[in-house]
Amino acid sequence: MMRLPLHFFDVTKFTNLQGVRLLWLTLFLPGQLFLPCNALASGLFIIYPKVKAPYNKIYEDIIKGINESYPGKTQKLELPHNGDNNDLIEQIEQHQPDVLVALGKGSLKKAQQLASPIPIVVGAITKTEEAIAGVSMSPSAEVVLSHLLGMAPFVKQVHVVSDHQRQTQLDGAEAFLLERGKALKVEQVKSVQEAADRYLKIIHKASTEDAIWLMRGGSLNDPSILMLVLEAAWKKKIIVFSSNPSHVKRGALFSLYPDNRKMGGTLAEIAQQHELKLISPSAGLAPLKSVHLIVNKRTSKHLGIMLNDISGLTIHRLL
Amino acid sequence: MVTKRSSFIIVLTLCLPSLCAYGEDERELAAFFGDEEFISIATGIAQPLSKAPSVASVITAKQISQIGAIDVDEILETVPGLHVSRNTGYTPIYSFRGIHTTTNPQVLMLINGTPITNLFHGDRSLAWGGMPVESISRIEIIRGPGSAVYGADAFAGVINIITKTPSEVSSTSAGLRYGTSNSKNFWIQTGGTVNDLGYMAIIEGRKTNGSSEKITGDSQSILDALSGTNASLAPGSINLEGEAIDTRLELTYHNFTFRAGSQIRNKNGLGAGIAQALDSNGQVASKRYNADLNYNNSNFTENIGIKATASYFQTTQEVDENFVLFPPGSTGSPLNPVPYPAGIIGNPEVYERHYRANLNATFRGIARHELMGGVGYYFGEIYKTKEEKNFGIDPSTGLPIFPGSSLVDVSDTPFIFLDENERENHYVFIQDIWHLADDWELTTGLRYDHYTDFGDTTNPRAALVWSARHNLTIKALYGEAFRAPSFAETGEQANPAFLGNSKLEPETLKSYELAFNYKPSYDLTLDLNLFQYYWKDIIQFVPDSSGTTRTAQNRGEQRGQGFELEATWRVNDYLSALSNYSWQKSEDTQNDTDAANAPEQQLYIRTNASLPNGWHLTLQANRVMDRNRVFDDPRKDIDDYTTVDFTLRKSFLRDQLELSLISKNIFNDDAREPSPNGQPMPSITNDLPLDRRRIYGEIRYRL
Repeated sequence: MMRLPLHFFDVTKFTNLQGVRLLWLTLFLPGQLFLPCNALASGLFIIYPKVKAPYNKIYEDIIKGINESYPGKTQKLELPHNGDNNDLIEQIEQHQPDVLVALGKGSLKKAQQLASPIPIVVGAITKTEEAIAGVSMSPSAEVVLSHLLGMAPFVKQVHVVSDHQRQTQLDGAEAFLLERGKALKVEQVKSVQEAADRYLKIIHKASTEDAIWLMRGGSLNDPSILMLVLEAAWKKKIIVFSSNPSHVKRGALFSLYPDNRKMGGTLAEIAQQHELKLISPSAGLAPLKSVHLIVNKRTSKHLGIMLNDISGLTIHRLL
Repeated sequence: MVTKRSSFIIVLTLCLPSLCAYGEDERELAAFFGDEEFISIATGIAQPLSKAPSVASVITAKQISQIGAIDVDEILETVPGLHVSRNTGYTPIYSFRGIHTTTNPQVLMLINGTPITNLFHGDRSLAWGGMPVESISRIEIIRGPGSAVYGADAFAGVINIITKTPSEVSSTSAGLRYGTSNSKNFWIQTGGTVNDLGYMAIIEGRKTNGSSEKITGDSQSILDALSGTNASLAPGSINLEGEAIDTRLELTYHNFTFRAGSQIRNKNGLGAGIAQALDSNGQVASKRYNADLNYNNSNFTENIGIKATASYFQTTQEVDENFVLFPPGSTGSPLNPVPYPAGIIGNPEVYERHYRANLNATFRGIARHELMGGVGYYFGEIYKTKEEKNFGIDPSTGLPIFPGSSLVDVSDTPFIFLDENERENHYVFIQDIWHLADDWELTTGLRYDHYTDFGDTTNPRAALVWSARHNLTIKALYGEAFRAPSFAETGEQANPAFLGNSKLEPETLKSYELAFNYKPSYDLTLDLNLFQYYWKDIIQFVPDSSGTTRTAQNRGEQRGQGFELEATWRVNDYLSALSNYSWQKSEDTQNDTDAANAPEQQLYIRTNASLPNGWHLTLQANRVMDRNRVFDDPRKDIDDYTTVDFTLRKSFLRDQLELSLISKNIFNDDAREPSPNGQPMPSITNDLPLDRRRIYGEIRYRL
């Protein structure tokens, strides 16, 4: 698949009509043969921010995953922290990619600033202002809860205290649990104090069949809340799991974080779907499915969850 | 005009956190994962620390940078219950919890799990020459016995130096350091992955003129007084010049890891001299090579994990320049009226090889148990010893070598200091971690060792761990350990003062510990460790009835007890502090007196400020207190000392470039380590002076 340099025309005019696109390509193909080789269109162009260690390892692993899964050519460009877009524009004109893969928020902004017709796929990001195809770093509720039930099938109720509107995620969680004869209990709060009160009430009434899911949210970033919840839950042997992986070292039973290589593989698949026009450019972020599991060994033993007996789950890190 | 006040404001502004220095993406990733440390764990750059049931400290590369360490000993000195002392050659004595001997074979030192201690003295060699720190990922230090896991010599403590992996060194970088005593260091490292092959390579070099601290009187000063000669070089400078090149290579491919390394030491000075007489001439060298191949598969089958290791280690002690035991003009003895014009020279050389193979398996198939077992084989040999000397007996004539004679090669004769020798060891061990009940875990382990030279030994250990509260863990530990006699202790010969004994038994140790780990908040961790030990069959060189020589015997006994208290406090995102206090009281039960030389109290404090605009400042203080003399030493107890160091680092270009200023002992304290006692009096009376103030400038650059 090949294209002329960007500024020649707007490819988006031809989107969604694969037949028209093929015809169009056929008409222009002979002309392409006379272009210099390096101006021929090719595969993916990955842009990612220049960050310090250890952050850079995340992007390196994602790129490795893209390269392993994508059958065509890939080019990559590390974007300097405060640089202009000239180098990016020049390289895109030179390589003429089919799809631009932007890793991280900064890269996405720069990709959008280009106002280029080349479709964008985004990764290593938790949310976007507007709908763009890609993969979120946050796992879907179904993935999180399936890990919970894999480790603790005896859990019957999952409690969430939220100060944010997370209806989509909560709906997904509720449906998943209902299907398995379990329940989701959600309590909305407006302040840290209110969150603390609710957590204590939940724990006071809870039995070992209850579990608390610490979702991301303003009030949960307060370490005092975390300490309060984990201490009270420890005393009553209530499972606490978290969407924040670093909570595991503080005593949460488990958390999930992206398998960056596989995330790269998924980005490569989405990029191919773009090439084949099988996906809308505004498909939005797909929730993360390929995750690593991190478990607190001390907490699991306290709860009587024998990690050797867990089948079907692979523990990636044990703290 | 820039006033003092405006200058201060400018400096302050430079030091203030600059939020724009943080990238948006870094902030988002940090928020998602929780913190930077977790990203290192999640991405495999750092391994989560193993929670072995022992009293252990782990010092990471980041902390090593904060400490401003130039040599591994500066890192080890920060560990509670461990003090790095010096013998007269200025090689380190890692003194754990009051267990302090001159050659220090009671400590097992490993690099990536392979012992680097030698057969000759059980230490790191006379030509140890220090170890640079750029290749080090972390150091794990276990206080107390570890023979049930590590076998021989994991006695007073274990120091395991773990080098950086390919994922930790993901780019190419280089650095230079220059400072006091014309000390020059350089390093270049590179690493990365190509397909599934990970690679890491590093070369580190050092050259120094060494400390020029002075010794006021030495063993020759006493000889001069008794013989009427005037040969002593004292008062004079100790000799600590030296050159070092260290290289390391690591290759990883799926479950396999191959490592190779070398530590070459040349022209190393002999400190205060081999015979405690200053030697401005003598230079020792060492060539150390290591290689190991590991296969590690924690999921070999559903319930079985396998780890197999084969390793090789070679070490030498070689002579670069003649070891002048006593200086020109010395008679060597008050009974000898004729002086040696070139001094008394003895050039012992030792060449060793060590081969090891080990297979470990873990089994998770029994509910509430984690079983681990293993077998191993070790073969070590001193395959060559050489010696030239200008005293003693000439093997070709059977007559004494007269003063003024040239050096005589006594290698491969009965007159050499040590014969070639070898040792084989087979072992088997088993360990069970039994999850007794929620919050209760019992670890039991047993290791059986068979040695071809001194027979069998079996060493148990047990650890009961109780997670008492969500933020409190209590451990009770019991362990036994043995220390294999060194070849010098079993085979030293033709020495005018010290003789080996082939009938020696291993030293043994029993230890009881109680450890508390308490985290009152997420930012504060407190550790308290209580210990008691009983060390017996201590190998000592005991005076013979002839009166002129001493022979190695299992003679000494020592009991000790004490505690270590540690606090780690993360004040905020920019400021952290760490402190530890150690107290021990050990008794030489044979002589019914306090055990000597090791500090009874130590206090260490470190504060670190890391600002997001690239400034890092560390201040640390170390106080060493209450070191007793041996029971028959007439000197007053050695003075306490305090050293204060600072490290100032500034990074530029998003951490690509870093400039640093490092200063050690900034208040120029007169710090000294104890010199040995002697008869009729100590040879070096005023102890062994350590470095005064040192200043280094450093630059490092990453591509």
